[in-house]
Amino acid sequence: MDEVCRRARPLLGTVVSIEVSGGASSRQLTAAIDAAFEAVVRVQRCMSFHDAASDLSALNRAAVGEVASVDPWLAEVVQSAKELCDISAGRFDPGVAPVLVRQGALPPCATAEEIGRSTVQNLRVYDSGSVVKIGPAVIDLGGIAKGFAVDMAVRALQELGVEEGIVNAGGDLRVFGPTSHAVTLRHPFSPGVVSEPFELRNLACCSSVSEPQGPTCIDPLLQAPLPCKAAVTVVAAEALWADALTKLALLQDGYLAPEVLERYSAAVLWSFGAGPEAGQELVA
Amino acid sequence: MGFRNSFLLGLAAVAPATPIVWVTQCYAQHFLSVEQAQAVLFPEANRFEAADITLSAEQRERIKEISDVKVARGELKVFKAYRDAELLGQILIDHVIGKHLLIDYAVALTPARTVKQIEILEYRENYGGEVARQEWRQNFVGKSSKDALKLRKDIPNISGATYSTLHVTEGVRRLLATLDVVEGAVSHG
Repeated sequence: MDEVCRRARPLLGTVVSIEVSGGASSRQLTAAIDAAFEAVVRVQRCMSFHDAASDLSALNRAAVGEVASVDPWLAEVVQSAKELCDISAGRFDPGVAPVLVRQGALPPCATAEEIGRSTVQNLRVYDSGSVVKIGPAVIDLGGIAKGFAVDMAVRALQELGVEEGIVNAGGDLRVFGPTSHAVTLRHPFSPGVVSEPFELRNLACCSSVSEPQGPTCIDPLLQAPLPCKAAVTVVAAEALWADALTKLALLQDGYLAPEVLERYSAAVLWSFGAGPEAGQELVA
Repeated sequence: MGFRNSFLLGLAAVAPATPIVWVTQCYAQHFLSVEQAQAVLFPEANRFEAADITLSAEQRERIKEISDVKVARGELKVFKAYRDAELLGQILIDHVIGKHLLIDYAVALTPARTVKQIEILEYRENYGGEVARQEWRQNFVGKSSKDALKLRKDIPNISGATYSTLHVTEGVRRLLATLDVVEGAVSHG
């Protein structure tokens, strides 16, 4: 029986837990978990909107035309966000941060009130360490960075020889390795209630909720929050995409286009929305 | 809504033919014992000395003033970590109670009392109500002793659970204030 190591730390504003097993000694597993947590800490440090000292905050403060030196991981996430913004014809756009600032959901940011519509497409990734702002762009990576942090933790574990495990960042999780792991969904509006377990193998599973009075998902096309209660769970090969696609699916009544699903090896596992089938649970 | 991607074989077991069934359950997740946390937080230490703190009513009041966090208990479990005669830092064992979550955690501090690392030892969900707890126990009914060995493995991970760790942040603030009151303030430079 392989050794199983489980640890958890308060990071990204939630509980990040890591469970690993396989191949390595207990000492090696502990070292690998330490490296994985370091990866999460690095994401937290460079992508936090709340931390004025983060690379993201520096990028948000940058003037149009300015080149910002950033952590290569931030440049990578910006590039991924631009890709999904493009594919979704602007329906996924972390450039909605000024709306969240106006709502009071995010702290004030000096450039959030600038004239012109903020969009991630006004950022150009120059090279792996620098991003140039070509128009108004104040971005919040809350909808994508947590998934990326999970992916980077998984990568750190794999690089140190860990064969299988689960990284779970407050419900956004990724399972890797040869065997499947049981996962349950928490009911978004009845937190004491969970689904029957299902099996995941080499997949990420992320969930998002939007509530008019709680955490809201902003529709970039309307520059306004989703008016109704909605929730969705998406599985994909990588947690970054599973996380980002939950935001897109929330805005589209749980729908993701077939080409999007195929591109990211994704599927909508469960959704709840107030679209045409108001109050209906949609089960994959 | 069906699965459009039949190539997602890793997902085969995910797609239930029937709608997802929801059940009421509560979870406890155990991560580290105090001894294991000591080894994780100060791997270079070869000795841990208990240095528990008992707070007077005045001290508790003073801590609340400094940290703006209520001090629920007068006892605090503390270990000083040494490598031979050298003090490496200390570990404080504490717990916080959130809206639905009870978290036992350990904070490692440097000798200058800056936070080195925080590890969660265990957390328990509590949505109140015996019904939930009973149904949770039923989860284990019918499992053989052989299954019981795998019990921890059988408690699945949860997606969609967003646990706020705000209370841990407050707890750490309270612990730092506690040391300021008990041992005297240090410059955090």
